[in-house]
Amino acid sequence: MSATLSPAIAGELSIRSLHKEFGGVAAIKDLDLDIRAGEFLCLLGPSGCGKTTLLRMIAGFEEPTAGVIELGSTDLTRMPAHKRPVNTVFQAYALFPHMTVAENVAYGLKQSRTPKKEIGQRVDEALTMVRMREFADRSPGQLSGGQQQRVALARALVNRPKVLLLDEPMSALDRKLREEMQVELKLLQKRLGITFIFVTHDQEEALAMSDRIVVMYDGCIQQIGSAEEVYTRPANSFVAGFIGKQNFVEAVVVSDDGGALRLRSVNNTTILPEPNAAGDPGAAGRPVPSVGDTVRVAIRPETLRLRVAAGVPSAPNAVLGRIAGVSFLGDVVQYVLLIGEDTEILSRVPRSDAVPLPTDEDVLIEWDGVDVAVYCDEA
Amino acid sequence: MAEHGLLQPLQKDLIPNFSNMDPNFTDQVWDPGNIYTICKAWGTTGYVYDTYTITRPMASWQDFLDAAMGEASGRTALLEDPWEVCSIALGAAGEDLNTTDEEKLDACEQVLLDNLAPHVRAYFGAASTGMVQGGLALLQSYNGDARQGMLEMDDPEQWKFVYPTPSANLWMDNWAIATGAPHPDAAHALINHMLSPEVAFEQMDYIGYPVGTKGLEERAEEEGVELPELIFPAQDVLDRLTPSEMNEAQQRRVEIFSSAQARSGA
Amino acid sequence: MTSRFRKFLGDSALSFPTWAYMLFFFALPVALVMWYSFGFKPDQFTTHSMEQLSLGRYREVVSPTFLSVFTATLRISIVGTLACLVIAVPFAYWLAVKVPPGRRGLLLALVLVPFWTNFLVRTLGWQIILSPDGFVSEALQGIGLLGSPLDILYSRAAVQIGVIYNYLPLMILPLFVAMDSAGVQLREASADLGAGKWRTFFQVTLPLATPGVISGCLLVFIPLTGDYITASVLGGANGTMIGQLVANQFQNAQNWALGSAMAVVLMLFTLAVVVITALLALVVKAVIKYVGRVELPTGQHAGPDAGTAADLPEGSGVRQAEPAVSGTTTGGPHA
Repeated sequence: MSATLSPAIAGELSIRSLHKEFGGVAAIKDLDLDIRAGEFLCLLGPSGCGKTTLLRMIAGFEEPTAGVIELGSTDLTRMPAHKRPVNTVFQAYALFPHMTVAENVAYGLKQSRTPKKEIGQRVDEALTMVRMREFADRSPGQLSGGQQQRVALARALVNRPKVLLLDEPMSALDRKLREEMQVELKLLQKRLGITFIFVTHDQEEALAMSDRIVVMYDGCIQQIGSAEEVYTRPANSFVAGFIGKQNFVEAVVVSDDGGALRLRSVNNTTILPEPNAAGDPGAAGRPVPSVGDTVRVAIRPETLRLRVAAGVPSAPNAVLGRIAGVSFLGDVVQYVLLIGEDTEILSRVPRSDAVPLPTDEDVLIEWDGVDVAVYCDEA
Repeated sequence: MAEHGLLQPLQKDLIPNFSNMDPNFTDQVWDPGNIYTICKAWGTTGYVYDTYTITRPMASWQDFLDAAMGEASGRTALLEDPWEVCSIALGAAGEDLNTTDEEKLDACEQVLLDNLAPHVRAYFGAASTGMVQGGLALLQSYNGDARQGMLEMDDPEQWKFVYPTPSANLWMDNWAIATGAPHPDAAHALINHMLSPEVAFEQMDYIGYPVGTKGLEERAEEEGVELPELIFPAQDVLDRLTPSEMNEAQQRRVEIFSSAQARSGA
Repeated sequence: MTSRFRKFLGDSALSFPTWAYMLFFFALPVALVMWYSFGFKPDQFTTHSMEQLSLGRYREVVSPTFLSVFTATLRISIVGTLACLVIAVPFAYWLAVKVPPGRRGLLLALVLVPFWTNFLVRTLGWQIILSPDGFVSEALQGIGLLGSPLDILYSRAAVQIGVIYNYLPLMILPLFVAMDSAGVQLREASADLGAGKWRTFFQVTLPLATPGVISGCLLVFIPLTGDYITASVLGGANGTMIGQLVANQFQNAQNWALGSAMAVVLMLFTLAVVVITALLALVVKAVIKYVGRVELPTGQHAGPDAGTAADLPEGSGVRQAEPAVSGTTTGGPHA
């Protein structure tokens, strides 16, 4: 049965030199993107980064200023929204309040003049799939947020679109329900094999669901990669800072011994990144700094180790700091550390590894060179 | 209204200018001795016609009926007043315009409904608008309104006013003071002021109707007021006019009038 | 004291201004008119007397004159309401959907500007426009569309034009509000699901604007039926409306009893038209709903559906998340 819900031809989107301006201000800047058939792709970025504009251009609600959008070999660029073989799940669901649940789901099939009997069958199927069959005769106003979202999903999927667009569909749900829906949605996508393009500003949501994440900022793609790639090997300091918690420290390149950099931070800490590790700019294909350059150093909070200080550290990749605050986040304990007068950094330790630390004297903060990432960019 | 105690008697000693009043317009049937009222303005009803459409001589209400059913059919307007409309048919038949005789009113209704109404285009409060907006050729009208309409015309030859025979309404607007009026002294003073020769002339010049004081016609002649013959009907016209009465047949007249309006609209 | 006052009035205390207004400016005057309608006119100088109550005035009302004028009035107000609707729907749609929000204020103001002018003056303006010697007449003759001067002033057609002009804003405003409040998202959803502009309009925008259509039609139809200014100014004899007959009874005949009876009959007739129209609309709506109904297969969840349902993440704990969902699935395959 699930075969009938799968598209005959998979949706493969190709976006070339896409550009969009609103009143002279560019929202999407000359963007290229290939979306594979049947993948779960997240467009992730802060609000105003252009992710929703990109989605709306794929849906046909906005017309690009320049560029091409192709689905397989079909040019969608100037095709009106109602002719595109894509469907959308809207942020506020946008269910028709004057129709029942079943009528909402049947709406798309009626537009394509599907025979009445088939409409009944497919609506039944789609509602059963999202477990809203019992609510067929209710009006959307009588449903909870989560239920409305399932109906919105059924309404879009019943048309067997090549590509399903989801515009922050979870933002109105509470956290627990959201996490459950994430799992359900991911499983549904796997089973149906439809291309899902999911817009979100919530990095955890993106990390949890995506096959690939497109990190966007300022109308441009910052990085495309799997959840692990964008987390462990951010392409630039924006991605490094946007995905997960991050400590940034400014430092100056003191020496460069054949790719082995020696850095000195503003508070005189010596930092030795491991050459050829993930964070090494040369190895990651990022611009390499010269001696004397100011760079941004990123170290994840969970890679820091804390212990009681036995004196001023003489080794590199260590510094003394004072605990300014402790918070229990369930599975981890988070420390806010103060180095010198005004440098604040975060440390996260699994709860099971946390040891009692003095809050009135200095603690030693250590890290490994392999966990240090160096960025030359300003972001 | 006086019978119902709604008016207070006028104190003539407070209105010395009452002596300026023309005796033609004092001592009327509804208020002998001017106990309650003094004439404010007076006029009469007739009709005005477009001389390019209606070329024959026009003099009587019968002429009006004939023209309305003839060359001015569909371009005739009547006054929006039951008494005046009924007077067309009663006048044409030579009856008393104030008649309460059922048979005569029935006959009047028949003439109005069956003969006149189907040819009537509109019913107006004042004819001047209908003259100015054009499209009409025969309008029942008060003399002053007709004059106003004619004064606004580019072509003075186009329109002609008739004081129809055998009779028409002599109507009078009156001053009176309501019972319980808070400042009767001021009211008396106002009436007195309005009756002074100078003010009376100004008023006549403005509204286009004489106010019933003596010597007004001579004054108008001196000042060169336009179309004076439409303000001051000749004595022979005055002699044949009938003052309208509000009598028990008023309800019947409203009924006739409403039916005529409906018939015109059908 | 206050609490006793509140106790006496109950929860309606807060809406005191509203119901006081309704009582003094609506209920009481209407009651008074109804009361007068059972009286009579005793003599020529008295407007009404209540010494003998009877239905006699109602028998006088239902005369051929009244009925013919009433039919004409009804025709003018029905045609007028429909014309307002036909003009206002595209305009309101354009204003709510096509015009950028920044410019809507100005356009709405333009719709309302005529309302700042006195009703009578506005209507008198149309006398000049529709006059046989007026500029419209001359322009139409000038371009050869008309062989003789425009012969429309003082006719039913002139009243029709006048009332459409006078009442159009009352139709546009509620329609605009209704179409605007439906929001762009539902129209986008409709387009997304494959409906073109016209289908979206007839299946989403217009149905959602139904409350606006209803209030617009009532706001136009009811006062239009009772209007007598437009008819007096533009109508002439064949544009006579029922309001003029009522006014005649109060002003010329000074017969408040008969005038009141006419007013009551007018109200009842107007109400009857509204009720009949509403019933018709309900029937039409039910028919549309029936024709467009979605019939789900009755053998619920049998056969292939079970397979689909079985694919769902039963163990994910999702069902516990929403009691309403899990509670109602007990009859289904998940149970």
